[in-house]
Amino acid sequence: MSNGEIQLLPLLAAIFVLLLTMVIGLHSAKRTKTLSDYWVAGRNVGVFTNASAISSNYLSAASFLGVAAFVWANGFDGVWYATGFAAGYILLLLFIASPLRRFGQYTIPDFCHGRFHSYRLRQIGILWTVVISALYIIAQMVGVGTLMEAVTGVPWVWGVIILGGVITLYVAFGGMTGVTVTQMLQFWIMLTAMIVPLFILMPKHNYSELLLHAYRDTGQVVAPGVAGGVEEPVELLTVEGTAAFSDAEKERFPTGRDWIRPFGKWNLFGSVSLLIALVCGTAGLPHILARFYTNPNAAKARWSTVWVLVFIGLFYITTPIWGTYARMVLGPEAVMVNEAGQPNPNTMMLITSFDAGEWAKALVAAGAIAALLSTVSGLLIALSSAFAHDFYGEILYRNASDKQKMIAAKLAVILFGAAAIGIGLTFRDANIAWMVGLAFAVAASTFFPLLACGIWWRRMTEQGAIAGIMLGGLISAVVVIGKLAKVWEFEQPAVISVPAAFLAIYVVSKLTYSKHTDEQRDELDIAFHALHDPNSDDAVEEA
Amino acid sequence: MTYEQMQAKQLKLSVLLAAIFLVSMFSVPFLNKTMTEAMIAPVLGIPFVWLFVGILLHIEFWIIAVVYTTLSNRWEGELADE
Repeated sequence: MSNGEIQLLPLLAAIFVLLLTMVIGLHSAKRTKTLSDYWVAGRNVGVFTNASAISSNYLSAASFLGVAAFVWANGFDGVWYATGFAAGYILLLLFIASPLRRFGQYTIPDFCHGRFHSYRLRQIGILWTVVISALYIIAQMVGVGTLMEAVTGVPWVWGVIILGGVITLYVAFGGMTGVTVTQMLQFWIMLTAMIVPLFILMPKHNYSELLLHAYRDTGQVVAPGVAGGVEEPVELLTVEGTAAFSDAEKERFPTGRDWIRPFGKWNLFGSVSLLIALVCGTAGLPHILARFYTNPNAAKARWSTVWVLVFIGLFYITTPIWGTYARMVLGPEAVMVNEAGQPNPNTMMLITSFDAGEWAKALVAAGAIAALLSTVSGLLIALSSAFAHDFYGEILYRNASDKQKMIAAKLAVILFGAAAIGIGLTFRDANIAWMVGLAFAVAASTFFPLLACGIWWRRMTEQGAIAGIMLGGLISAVVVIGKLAKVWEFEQPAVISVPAAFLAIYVVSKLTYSKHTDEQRDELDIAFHALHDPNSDDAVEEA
Repeated sequence: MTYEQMQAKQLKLSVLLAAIFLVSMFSVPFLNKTMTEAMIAPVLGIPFVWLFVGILLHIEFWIIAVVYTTLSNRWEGELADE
């Protein structure tokens, strides 16, 4: 089904999304005149537009195809992803979004510097922004090639180069202004692609009956079968007719009634740790947080978050439905294979959409491409701002003119875009899900504790911030290295690293605040005041 | 009302709503462990825990978000009017 064979409708859909994105992105470049336009879209983005753009920025291909595939393979434990990814926005809304916007900067390293008057903390902020965004973008770029090949038949290498090139081009010229418009559009393509085919599938197959099949069955999963309605065991085959998974691999997946039961993938400890990483990690992702700077005021930042919860909630509610249909409806061609003959479970949505018609497959392909474009463009903005704004403009060459900073910004986007393409081509076999999970765990252990405490605790000190962010990040790294070196099986660091980061911030701040001079305390108070006083911006304006 | 008082009110509201959110979400894995059969019993043809985590929690998030945003923005507006 893939194997280099060009698939016309999905290919046309992908080309349509690419061209539309490029035209709109480049057209927006005309409105990108100042640094504020380039990094925060002139702080003039309305609630609906920003909510759509934030949703699109957040929903990568991992969400678009991966969550449904995870439900398909692992049953209930996959549903946690569908809810955990959205849940993070509650903490973001309750504790972070509006004060961060009111602080009125461009980037998270800006917050680190401004809140604690510390260049050292800005440098650490740059470090973790780059680590988190790099982990995320590597995963996305590897996914770009895999997805393009699977949905359109375009060879993997060309998929990475074409998509990477298009994204780099429109981000470099349009900056955040261009990215905002394209992300808004991409979100509605994605949501349409998730929902519309389900309206065709739902009347054809009774959803609750499909789930009850699994509920009643205590042995192997049985499915009605696409043709004929005959119950038969689902055997996942590649297009060559060989088994997609070996017997040992099949044992990793829950079957029968276990598929609907909890703990098919993780035990209790793993489930709780995963939830902590998803909830806290979302509230610490630099490319998401930066979007809140684009609202005109704090009140609108709040309403943007409310609508993000509604938009991505609608999106994620559909993912277990897709996973269930795939699990119970798929015929023998359940898994596409890539050039290397490896099964690619993430394409199960494409196969399932066949049941709704060929056009549905094209729609899903368009949604998947839109998901990749939107997330990679947001990550490119985060990476390039860390370099051009935080490092070049605020540390290396503080006297640079706006014109020089703008040139640095565009060069940084091109540089990071080229690096992302190169890395995507190099790390073809990288484990995408693991890298995205790691980015969440690191964000949860570094920026989330720093922001939550820095925004709400007046007496938090620079030393406390450094201790927390470094300890949280290092524990995440140690857990991952230990897992890679097979020292332990434990792979979800958040349950340890997040509390450790909070504890370090508390203890070190307590120890060091008393040693601050009155002048230093006043500086901390002024920054704290700027985060919360509604008169310090136009937050009182009705959203 | 001073801005410090308003900030304290906002923080109290945030903590209360966060507690509701955290308890409703993080209690599920523990309930799954201790009363598995009840959690997967079908409700409206769907295992309860699928319905709760897959749909009802999202609705709870929307309610929490609207309540917090409405009250917070109203308090800030009142402070600005004073």
